[in-house]
Amino acid sequence: MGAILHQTAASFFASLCFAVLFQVRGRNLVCAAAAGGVCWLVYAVSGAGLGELPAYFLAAVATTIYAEFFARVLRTPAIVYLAAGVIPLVPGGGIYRTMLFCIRGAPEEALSACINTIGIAGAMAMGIVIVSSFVRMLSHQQIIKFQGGSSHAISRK
Amino acid sequence: MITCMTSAELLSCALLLGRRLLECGAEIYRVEESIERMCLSYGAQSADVYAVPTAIIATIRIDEEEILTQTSRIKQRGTDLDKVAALNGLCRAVCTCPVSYGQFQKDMQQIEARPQYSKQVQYFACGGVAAFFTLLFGGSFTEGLLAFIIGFLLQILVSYTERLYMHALFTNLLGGVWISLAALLGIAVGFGHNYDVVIIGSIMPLVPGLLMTNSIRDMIAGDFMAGISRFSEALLIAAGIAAGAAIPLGMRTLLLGVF
Repeated sequence: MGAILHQTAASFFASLCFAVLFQVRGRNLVCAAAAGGVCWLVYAVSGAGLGELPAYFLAAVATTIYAEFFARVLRTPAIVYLAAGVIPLVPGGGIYRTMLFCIRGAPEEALSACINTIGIAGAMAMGIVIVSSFVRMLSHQQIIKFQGGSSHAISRK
Repeated sequence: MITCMTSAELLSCALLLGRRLLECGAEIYRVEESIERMCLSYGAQSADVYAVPTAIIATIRIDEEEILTQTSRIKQRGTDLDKVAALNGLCRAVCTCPVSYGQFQKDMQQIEARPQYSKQVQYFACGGVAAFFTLLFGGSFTEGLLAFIIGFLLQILVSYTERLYMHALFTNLLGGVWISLAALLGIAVGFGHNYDVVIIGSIMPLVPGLLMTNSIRDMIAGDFMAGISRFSEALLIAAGIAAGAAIPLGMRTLLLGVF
C-alpha cells in the first residue's frame, strides 16, 4: 500500500511537469496533475487483481471520466486534463524493450514486446474512446432536447 | 444573410480559429465543429469542413448564389493546451453573440498574447518528467537525480534543434542518442546501477503518447485520414527515439562484448 502511494505521488508530479510542457496554467494545472494521480492509483489497484491490459483499460476509463467531469465543471476542453493525465500509462518501457531485444538479436522477444506495446496503446485508446463517445452522446441529446428536437448544426456523427 | 461581417471575412475568421486550434494540438472533431458552428451561427446556410492534421478545407454556402471555399495548410504543430482552452472559449462566445471582424481579430490577438512558460521553466519541467517517471518505474533516488539532469539537458537540446528547423525524426534520434549515452555514462560514474530504468524514464518526454492515443481516437471517430496521418507521425517519432537510443547501447555491446 505504501508503495502504491509513493508511485501515485510520483505520477502526480510527473503529470504536473508534463502539463507544464503542454502549457497548462493556473487551476487547470492542479487538476491535470491530479488526473495523473487518479490514473496511476486506479492502474495500480486494479493491476494487482486483474492483470496488465485490463488495468490499463480501467485506468484510462477512470482518467477520462475524471477529465470529462472537470471539463463540465470548469468549462474547459477535456483534453486539457486528459493529455497529461494518461501520460503515466504511455508504454515508453514497451518501446524501449522492443528496441533492446532488436539490438540483442532476439526477434521473437522483440515482436512479442512490440505487440504488447500496441496492445497497451489500444487498451488505453479504447478506454478513452468509450467514455468520451458516451459523454458526447449524452451532451448532444441534451442540446437536441434544449433546441426542441431539431438542429442541423449538431447532426454530425 | 451573414450578420456582423462579410461572408469572406467570416470564412477567413473561422478558418483562422480552426487553424490555431489545430496548431495548438486540439482534436480533429473540435476543429471541424468549431468552424462549422461559428459559420452557422453567423447565418451561413451550411458549412462543410474537412480537417486533417496538415490541412483544413472549408466551404460555406451563404445563399443560392454565393458559395465560398478556402483552404489552409498547417505546417507547424505543437501542444499549447492553454490556447486550446482560450480559443474554445472564444468560439463559444462568438457563437452565442456574434462580433464584428475587427473585434474578432482583436480577441484573437489577445489570445496570441497569452503568457507561455519560459524556456527555463520548461527545462525544469522536462527534467521533472524524466525524474518522476524514473522514480515511478522503480528507480532509486540517485537514478532519479541522474534522470533529472538528462531531462533538463534534453529539453535544451530539443529547443535548440527546434530553432534550427530540424526534422522531427532527427530531433528524436538525437534525443535518443543523448539519453542512452548519458544514462550509460551516469551509471558508470556511479549514479546507481540500473540504466534501463533511467533510459525508460528519460525517454518519456519524447514518447509520442498523446499523438498515438489521439490517432486511435480519430480513427474510431471516423476521421480515418487524420488518424492514419497522426499514427504514421507517431510511429516515425517512436522509431527515431528507439534507433537513437539503440546506437550507444549497441556500441557498448560492441566494446564490452556483454550486456
